[in-house]
Order: sequence, then C-alpha cells, then structure tokens
Amino acid sequence: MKRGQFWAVAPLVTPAMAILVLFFGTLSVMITYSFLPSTGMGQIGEGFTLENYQKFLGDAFYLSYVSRSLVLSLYCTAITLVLGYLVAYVMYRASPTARLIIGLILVVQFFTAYVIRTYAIMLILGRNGAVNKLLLNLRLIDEPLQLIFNELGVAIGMVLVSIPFMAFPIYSSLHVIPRNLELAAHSLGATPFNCFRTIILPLSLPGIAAGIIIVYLFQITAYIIPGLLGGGYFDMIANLIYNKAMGAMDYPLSAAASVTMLVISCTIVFAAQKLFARLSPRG
Amino acid sequence: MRPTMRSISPLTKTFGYAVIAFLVLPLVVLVGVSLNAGVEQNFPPSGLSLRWYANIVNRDGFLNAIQMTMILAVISTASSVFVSILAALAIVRYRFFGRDLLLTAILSPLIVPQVVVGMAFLVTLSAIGIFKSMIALLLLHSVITVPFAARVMVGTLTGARVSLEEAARSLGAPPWKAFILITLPLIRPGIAAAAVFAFVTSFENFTATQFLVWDRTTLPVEIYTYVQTESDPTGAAMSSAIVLTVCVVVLVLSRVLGLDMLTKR
Amino acid sequence: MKTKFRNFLGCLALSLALIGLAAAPSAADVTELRLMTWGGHWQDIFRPVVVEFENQTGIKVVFVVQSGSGDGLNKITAQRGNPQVDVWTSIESTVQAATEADLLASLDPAKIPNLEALPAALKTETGVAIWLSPRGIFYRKDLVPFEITKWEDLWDSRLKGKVGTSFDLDRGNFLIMAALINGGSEKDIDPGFAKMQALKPNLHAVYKTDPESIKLLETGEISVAGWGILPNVYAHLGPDSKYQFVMPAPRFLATIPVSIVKGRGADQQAAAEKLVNFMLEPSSQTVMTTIAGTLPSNPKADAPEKLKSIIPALPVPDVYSIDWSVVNSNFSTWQDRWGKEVQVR
Repeated sequence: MKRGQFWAVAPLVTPAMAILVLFFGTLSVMITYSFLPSTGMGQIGEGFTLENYQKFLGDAFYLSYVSRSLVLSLYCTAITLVLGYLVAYVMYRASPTARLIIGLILVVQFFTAYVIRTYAIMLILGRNGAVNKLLLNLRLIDEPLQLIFNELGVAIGMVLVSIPFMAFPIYSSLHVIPRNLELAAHSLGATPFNCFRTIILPLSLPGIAAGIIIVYLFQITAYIIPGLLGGGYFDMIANLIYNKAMGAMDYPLSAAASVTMLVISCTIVFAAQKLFARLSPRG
Repeated sequence: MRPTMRSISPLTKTFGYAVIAFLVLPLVVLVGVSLNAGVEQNFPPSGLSLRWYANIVNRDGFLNAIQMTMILAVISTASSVFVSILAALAIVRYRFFGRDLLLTAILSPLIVPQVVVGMAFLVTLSAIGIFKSMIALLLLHSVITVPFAARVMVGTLTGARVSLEEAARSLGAPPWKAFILITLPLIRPGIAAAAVFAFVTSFENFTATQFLVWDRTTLPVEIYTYVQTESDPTGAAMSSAIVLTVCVVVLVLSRVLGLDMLTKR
Repeated sequence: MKTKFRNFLGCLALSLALIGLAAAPSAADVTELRLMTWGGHWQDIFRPVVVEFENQTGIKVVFVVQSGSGDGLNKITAQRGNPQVDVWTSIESTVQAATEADLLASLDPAKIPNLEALPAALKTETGVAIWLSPRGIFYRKDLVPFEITKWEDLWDSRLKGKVGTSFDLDRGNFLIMAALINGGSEKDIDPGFAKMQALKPNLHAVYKTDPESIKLLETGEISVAGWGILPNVYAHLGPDSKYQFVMPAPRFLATIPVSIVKGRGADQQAAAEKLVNFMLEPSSQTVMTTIAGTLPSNPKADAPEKLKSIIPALPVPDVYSIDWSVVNSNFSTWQDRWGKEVQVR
C-alpha cells in the first residue's frame, strides 16, 4: 500500500474499527470464559483449562449439532438462493405498482415478530393445518404428514424466513445494472434467456454473493426457528449453546462451543469472500 | 413478437408469484388468529372479534416498548449506514493490507450466534458498570446492524461505476464534492437498502436483546414475553397491528415520495 | 476529508460522553424498590399488592423483566459487583443456584414476622414461597376416549401419537415423575429414561413452555399435555369446557419463591424485607392467588374457590418434594441423554 493511500483509507475505516473494537472486546470475555473451569451451576472457577474444549470437541453428540447445522444451512441456502432470485427478478421486471406491493410484502416480513411468524408457519404445517387439510381433501394422502417437529419443518421454516434476506441484496444488485447494456443486447437480437445468462446473471453476482453469505450465516446460527419448528427433534448449534448456558448453566462449555462455531464460520466466510472476489466481473 | 424490456417468461412469473404467495400466507394466518372471538388461537378463526386489539391498549408496557424500539432502530441505522458507507468506500476502491480480513471482521457479528453476542454484552457491560438498558442496547444495536449495512454497501459500490466520479475529479472537482454530487445519488437505492436492512435488524432483534432488557424493554421482547406467558390471541393482534402500520406507512410514503422512491434508477 | 474527520471526532466524543453518563453511580434511593419477575400477566398479579404496599409505606415498586428464571439468574450473576435488583421471584432450582453462588440475602424471621406462619417445607434460608402452583395433566376430553386419572394413563396404547410433554418445564420434573412411577427418583434417574423409551410410541411433541402446550392442544396437534401448569390453563377450564385438568399422585406443587438480593445496602434490604413480609400477609396472598389461580403459601389465607373443585383436597395429599441440588448437579447430563434417547424418532 502506497503511503499516500494510507491517509485516504484510514479515516474511512476508523468508525468501522471502533465498532469492531467494541464487539471483539465483549467477545474476548466470552473467549476467556471458555478457558475457565465450570464449578457448578452458573459458577466459574479460576485457572486456565482446556477441559471445556475437550468436553465439546471430544463428544460426537455435541459435534453432531455442528455438522447438522452446517449441512442443513447449506441446502437451505441453495433453495433460498433459487427462490430469492426468482422473487428479486420478478420484482425487477414488474411494473412500479407491482414492485411496490412486492417490496411491501418483503419489508413486512421483517416487522412481524420472529416468534409469531414461526408460530403461524407451525399452524399451517401442523397435523390439522392448511397443508394437511388440503392434501387430505384432495385424497393425495390418507394420514396427516409429519411436517413439523422434524428436519423437514425446520428446513421449510428456514427457507421461508430467509427469502427476504436473499431477495433484497439481489434486487439491489439487479437495480444498478445500466439500462443501456440490455438495450444494446436487445437491439442486437439477443433472446431474453441469453440476455439473462450473459448480462444480468454475472452483473447480479455481488448481490448473490451478499445474499448467500447473509443467509448462510443467519441459518447456521438460527435459534428460534429450529427451536419451535423442530420441537427439540432437530436442535441446532445455537440451541445447544443456549441450553448449556441457560438450562444447564454451564457457561464455560457454552463459551467453548461458541468459540468453535466462530472459528468455523470465519473460515467459511473468508474462503467465500475470496471465491466471490475471483468470480466477480470487477476486481 | 420482439421481446420487450419488461419481458419475463410466463413460467418464471408464475413461479415467482407463487413464492411471494407463500410469503403472504403466514401473515394471513396471523391476522386470522388475531380475530378470534374466543381465547383459543385457531385458524380459521372461530368467531370474529376485535377484542384482542382492544386488549393491547390495556398493556402499558406495549407503548413504552414501541418507543424504545423506534429510538434504537433509528439511531443504530444512522450510525451503521454512516460507518458502512465509509468502510465500503475503502474496501471497494483501494487495495490495502488486511482488506479481506477487514471485510470478514465487519461481517463477524453475523457469524457469532445471537445468544453469544447477547451474553458477551451482558457480562462485559455489567463488568464496566453500565446498567441502563438504553445505553446497553444502543451499543448492541450499533454493532449488530453494521454487517448487513456493510455488505449491502460493498455490493452496491462494487457495481457503481467509479469512472463517472473520476471524470468529475479530473475536471477539477474536489474528491468529497465529486462523491456527494455524483456517486451518492447513484448509490441511493443501495443506501436505502442498507438503511432498511439495518432498521429491521434492530427493530426485530430479539435473541441478543433479551439479555440486556432491564429497566426498558423492546417490542419483540414484549411480544415474545406475552406469547410465552399468555395463551390468548393478543400477541397475534399486536403483530398484526404492526403489519398494518408498516403497510400504511409504506403506502403513504410512496404517495408522498413517488412510487419509485426505493426503486428509482 | 476534513469534514469526515470532524464527523468522526464528533461521534467519538458523543460515545465517550454516553459511556461516562452510564457509568456514573446513581444516588442511593430508599423510596424505590426493584422487583424482578417475569413479564406479561405476572405483573398483573403483583400490581394490586405493590400499589397497596406503596399506599402503606410510600415505597414505590418498579418492575424489572426477566424472560425466564434462568435469564434472571444470569442477570443477577452478571451484576454481582453492583446489583440492580432488590427482590427476585423465580423457581426453586435457580434460587438454589443463586444461593450456592452467594448472591442472596438470608431471610430474617425477626424482620419478616409472617415467616412464622408458613410451614418449614415452604421456606429456606434464602427463599420463601409466595404461592404454590399445581402441576398435572391437561387434556382435551373430546379427543381422548377415556378419562385420565393416573400418570400411567399417558402410556396407554389408545394415546398413540397424541401425547406431548416437556423436559425443560420445571427443569426435568416430568422425567423425575417417570422415574418415580418406575421405582426410581431424581437420585436414580435410569428408570425414568427407561419409562421415557416406553412412552415414545405415544410421544408426538416436546414443548418448552406452557403456552406452547396450550397452542398444541388447541389445534389438536396433541390431545394430551403430559405436563401442565394449572394457573396457566385456568382460563380454558370450566363446566362446559372440552379441557380437563387432573392432578394424579405423586403430586407436584411448584413453590414459587421470592428472594432478596444481597449487596444493595442496609436501607434497601430493610425495605425489601418489608415488601416480602407484605406479600406474605393473608390479604395479599388471597389477592395474588385469586388472579394467578394458585394456592396461597400462608395457611391463614383462603384458597380461591375455582381451585377447590380441581384439587383433590386441601392441604394437598401425596406431594413429592424434589431435591433440587441433585437435579442441578445432574442437569447437563440429563439434558444430553434426553436429546440422545428421547428426542429421536
């Protein structure tokens, strides 16, 4: 980095650095906890120890929470990408009024309290809910399907709740695509599909990248959705962290699990950033 | 027939609107449940009544919670958009040592489970003697809103063409003026998106916020507390009321600022 | 660039000022007491009592919300050096944990005369019960083909796929009950897990809170809530109701304790003791339990009428008292076993 550049960059990043100092300051307390022994419910002893990490990393049962969180979020993010892109694209091509309505529907999702939205989804997917009632009436099934209190219910809830998170960044990205690029392609006779493939898709990549990262991170750290829709049958890593902290009051163990997740997540994000930087049309 | 600018295959359109319909469904259920005449939370509702909406007014915690939530959301949105624009400018336009690391670090509040963030703040702030929810929550919300805003700003600035701004500079305009007059209007939708993201993140944040709720509480925590301790449709009514308010606000704003306020090129 | 730097300085100054304000110690105040309890209708239960308390003593009571007893314990633990709460209502196990961590003050019978009237089982050194909350089975008469009279009925084959229960609610109490009817106890929990294995064909849902169980019953997702809390389902019961509540033996009465937090200063503690004493007055007891739907802890107070038809007799016979210190030391292991053995289909 050239000397002149430093004075351009420094003031730009200082506010962000302040926020990060605050955040990592609080985290460091957490990290400290993970190296302290647990001496009873809610009590923490003194002295450096690795027992919490040994307990957490040495237990296949605890690790299964990590793996199932990573795996479920992977395929749920993929599905969310397709559906979210669809919504963003429809919004992009819609008339101004339609765009407003769709945008409104998306924004409203965020303002409905999380817990309530999940309860509403439970009502729809339940034994006597709309989906089962419909399938029974159409005689497609004889018995109600088990759509909640299992992995399927969690996956459905995850995708539904994540779609707005994916649609917005993609839409932002679609939005700033210069109009004349498309015009030029059209005037040269490109089909809509080719236009999409060669112009729109590559240029919406930053939005896709943003969406994927936001959604994946949101899903692996999800707590209320697996808690309610999984009903304990598909707890994810955040549920374990919560149960150990608030239920068993074993803060050091909970902290060790958190630090492990933090390391895994950072690695994923760092790798993803590099990958997307390479794929992006602009350096 | 020549394909037009707005052309989109009917199949794509149908699927797209189907997905949107699925997004609306939980909201419909919500409103339906809130209209139940009896104590049960059924859908379809057994009997129609507005009594649960009336019941909202009986709870004075509700109004305080709305005020608190709004203050937090507005302040943390302003601060995180400000921080994000600056940081994104640095990340997108310059190559410097630790650039990728900085970007990852800025996203990190998203990486850490909300539970951990909440607990970390509780312990640290108690240790340094901060016991007012307002301060604690302002600090928390400033931190958690930055990742969303930053990501959006980086995405937007990556797509926005620097060349226009550079052209202005080469013509003699000072850098900050070129930025404000040329780039800023160009990235306005991005800023709006970042602001919306930051606002809703703060507004609906629950898991981390619940740890810092002492003398004041926020709306999500208030609703959650109600739903967890009560068994009547008032929680659904509260949420439906919010949905209704947001719809009205957005529709009014669109009238006043023009339909394209968020989506203008 | 100069503008940006100035903006930055401004922001920095503002944040430093805010932190300074927050860290400044607040003046000691004997005219206000801070009561930490759950949100929602719990405040409705205490409100008439604290209003009357303020009328009589001039001391205002301010509510502090905890989203759960664990959350409350968390807050008190974090605030150890500078507690922000005077009086705390929670549950036995969290009081136990807080006592072990030396966070609670001893309750002095000399300062809290009403303690005399309460039986020994309802008070410990650091907590005294303000009411008793009955637990039992809550079910839908229209969805269950027989009348449920004992715990064993939950294992009846006619209830295949229709039962819900809880592990977190009352910290493993249902599991302990399963152990008790299978020859074990909280000190010997294996029979409990064996009994849970036998329940799996009937078990359809596991809930974490009471209102969750009620919602599941309302939609018919389950027909029987194996672990219900009477005061929370009060509104659903009645002569024409399709809901029924039953308390089979061994019976469980959760004692809801109130405690005083240590370290708030002599004046605050004296005021807190006055409040606790006032809560134990027969008149206060009657008011609170009528709203809550629970049993008063002070034998001199009258139990609410509606309760008398549901509870077999007063005082309640065959009540089992759980040793919570045993539960606390094993809870983490039980939690893991429940996840591994019970919550797999």
